[in-house]
Amino acid sequence: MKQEEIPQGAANQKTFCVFGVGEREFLLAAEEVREIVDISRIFPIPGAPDYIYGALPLRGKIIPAVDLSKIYPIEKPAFANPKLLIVGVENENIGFLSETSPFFVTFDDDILVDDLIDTKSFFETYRIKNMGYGKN
Amino acid sequence: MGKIEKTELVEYFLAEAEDYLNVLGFGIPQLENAVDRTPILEELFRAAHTLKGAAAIVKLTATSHIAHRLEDILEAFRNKRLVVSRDTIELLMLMLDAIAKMIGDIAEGKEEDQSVEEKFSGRVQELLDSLDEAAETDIGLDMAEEEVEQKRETAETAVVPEVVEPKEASVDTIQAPVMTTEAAEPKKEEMEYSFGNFIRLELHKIEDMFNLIGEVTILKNHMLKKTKHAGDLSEEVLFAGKRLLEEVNRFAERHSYSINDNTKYVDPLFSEFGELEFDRYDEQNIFSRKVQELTEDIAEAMKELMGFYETFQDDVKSLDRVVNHLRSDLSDSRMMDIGRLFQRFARPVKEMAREAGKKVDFQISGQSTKIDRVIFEKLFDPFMHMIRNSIGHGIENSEERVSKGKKGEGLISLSAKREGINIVIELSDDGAGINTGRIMEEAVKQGLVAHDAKLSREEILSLIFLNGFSTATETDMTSGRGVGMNAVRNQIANINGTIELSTETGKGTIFRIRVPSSMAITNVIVFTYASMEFVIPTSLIEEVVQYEQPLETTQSDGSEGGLTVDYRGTSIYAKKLSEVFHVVGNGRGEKKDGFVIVCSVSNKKVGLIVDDVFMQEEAIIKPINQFLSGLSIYSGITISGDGRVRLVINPLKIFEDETGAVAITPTEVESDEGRRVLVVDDSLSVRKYLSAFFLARNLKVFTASNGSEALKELEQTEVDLIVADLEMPVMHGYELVTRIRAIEKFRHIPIIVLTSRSAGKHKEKALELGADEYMVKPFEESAMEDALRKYALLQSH
Repeated sequence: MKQEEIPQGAANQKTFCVFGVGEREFLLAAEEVREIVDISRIFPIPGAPDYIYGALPLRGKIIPAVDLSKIYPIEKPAFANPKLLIVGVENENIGFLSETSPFFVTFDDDILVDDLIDTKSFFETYRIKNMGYGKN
Repeated sequence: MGKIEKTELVEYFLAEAEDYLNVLGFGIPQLENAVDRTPILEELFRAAHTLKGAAAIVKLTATSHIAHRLEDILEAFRNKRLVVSRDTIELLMLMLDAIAKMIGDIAEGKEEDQSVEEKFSGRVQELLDSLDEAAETDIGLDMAEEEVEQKRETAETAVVPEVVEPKEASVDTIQAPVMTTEAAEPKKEEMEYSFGNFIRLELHKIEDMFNLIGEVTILKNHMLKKTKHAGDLSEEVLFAGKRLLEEVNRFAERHSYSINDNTKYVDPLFSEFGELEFDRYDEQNIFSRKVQELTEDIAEAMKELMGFYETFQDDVKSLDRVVNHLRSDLSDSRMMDIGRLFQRFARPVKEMAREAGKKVDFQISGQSTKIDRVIFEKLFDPFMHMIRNSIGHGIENSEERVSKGKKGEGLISLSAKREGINIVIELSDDGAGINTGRIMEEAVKQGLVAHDAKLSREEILSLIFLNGFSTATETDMTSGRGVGMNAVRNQIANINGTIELSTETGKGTIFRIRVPSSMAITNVIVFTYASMEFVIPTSLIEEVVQYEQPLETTQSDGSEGGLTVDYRGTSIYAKKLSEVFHVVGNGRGEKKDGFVIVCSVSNKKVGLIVDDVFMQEEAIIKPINQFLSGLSIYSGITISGDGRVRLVINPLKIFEDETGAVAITPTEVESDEGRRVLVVDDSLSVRKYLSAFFLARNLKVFTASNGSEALKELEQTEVDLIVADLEMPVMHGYELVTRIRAIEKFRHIPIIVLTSRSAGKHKEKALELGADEYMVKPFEESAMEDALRKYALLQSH
């Protein structure tokens, strides 16, 4: 799905993208979602923490695929036919694995939304920091 | 082309001004002692003149004015109306400094500082006045200026849009097509960058083209490979086709007309003819004929297909040639002479030598060696650092040199040459050389090696590349700022380069830096480990050797790691990738043969043990996603022609801890002072890494490879902190924590769980069982330090 297809709510509304991992649902601000792709091939990144499921090659670059079940207490998801939600953050793209087909919902912007991922702070927290070793 | 913004123009100006300043800065000091000044003067004059013109365009009048004066003086030198003296050269340097300062200000977005000119304007005026008087008595000022200006224009070779200051426009005849004479204000549209045969374009446009051509190259390589495969296939098919045809023909000979005597014809018509009167066909005959026909059709089609394939192959080969041409042309467009880099050091060398009270001659050679602009820019800092070291520590002062029978003036030289796809740059000095004894002393003092360690000369020299290593007794202006050779090595590794050094006491030191000549497309070696593909840039590889016998283990405890491989008669340290990242699995594991990729890491040869090594390939290495950039064992990624991700291994990061840990035996290091930490982890690498980390913080370290060993160790040794992994053989971390908390005398010891499990439930469980902290590997050093402070193992800031 391309960006232009992502619905935009009215002025006082906000649109979110909902996706699922295991029994949990997470939300992302719709405007941050750049693309949703089917995962055909994913490549492991040895040495990365276990929440990095792998890397997906996309137009000459790689997108790290984040498995939220390794960060939140979620029973082991199957990821049978996973989708990757590609999110633009800090001039870089990262992807979240989803077991369900993501959909969009619109709320009035005064409603507080649970399970919303603040991509900026997520990026800062889970970005692999500079350390000598990527060892277990 | 649209109108160019002034700021954009200023950027162009800044880019070129640097070059001209370098030419001037390098050339002016040479004037004093040069035998034949004419070529130097020509070059300097052109630089000053172009700088003046370019500054005027962007309305930097003060800069332009000084450059104009500079040009006047150089002109006078050239016409021999003025004698080159130390005094005038000093004045020129002062003027140059003023220009450099103003340009520096502009680059920072400030205005020109008009006041800088005051420092020397008097002297310049005086000098020029004396010239003017002379000129007037000769041919008259007006004529002279016009003539001079024309000469200047013919001397002009640079690619800048050329415009003179408005006040000179009236005497200008040559520039008429460029500037409308009636317009006082030059029209920017007409000053587009299409002068002569040059255009200027922004670097990123070339970069973009480069990326594209890189993609094309890789696709093309993929296609070549596939074409070859298709060729092999078609040959096979053709061969099989021939055999089929032969067989069919043989079969047909026997059967197409043969008549079986026993055949009972159903068709009553046939019974009317005798056996030889009518060709009778049974099913076999008919089938045989059909097959024959079909096979011939196929053979015909095959021949056509082969014909097509041959032309197609030729086409692909032409495409290959064209793409290669295109690439090398484009590649040339961003190649620069390395001499321009070398020139930039000329002045700093003089200045640093003066500050250090030493006499240093600076020589360069191989200036015309071409190097990629990207690499060019990344080399300045590391070389500056090394030159600073050479002047600060290497070169002795004159008296000392003379007493040793050397020339009073020290020599620092930079040379470059091409070696295959690499550029080798040597920085050498004829100073005192590096004192290995002193390195060893310092390394022991800084806890980097054990005091009784037996190291080879090479190993000792490699210590200077360790993080935090410095021999400077006091921090001075020129060196010893603690950045050290470690930073230099890392900067060079970032551009896929290597550094080596050789030194001879009393004779001097040579640093040899090897970098690829181009960054855009890198030659890599593809290898597999545990069915995954990785690459290493060829420039980092010494050799690939095959081994057929099991490798020797140097670790007495039999744990993995610490293998040695025989390489050209000496045994070198080697490592499996599985030790670097546990998760990869064991590769071909117990298989007894494989390959060792031998690399040179900070003066030492080390080996990486892999499963299979494939051919060299050309690849575009791209930076790894920011989210993953902390994984420093990877220097980037490449994507193969058929879309597979290959991680680029940085051997430096894999082996740097090993080169550092050459002599550390963590469990035996004696330090009576200091608190004690027990590290429990089944991975030797983690134990080593943590040991080095804690030792560096003056803690005493004990290690155990599983929970059960840890309990034994605790019985014997009193410790102040336990750092434990969760997943371990024999006894895992949960059980260890539970048991420790159940034993009264251990109950008080803080436990940090350090695991690769980041899931919340693991954390909850560990904390519930009695762990005090929960950290996820790879951990951040600062977080560990915070924890150490919390449990009073480390003093607060």
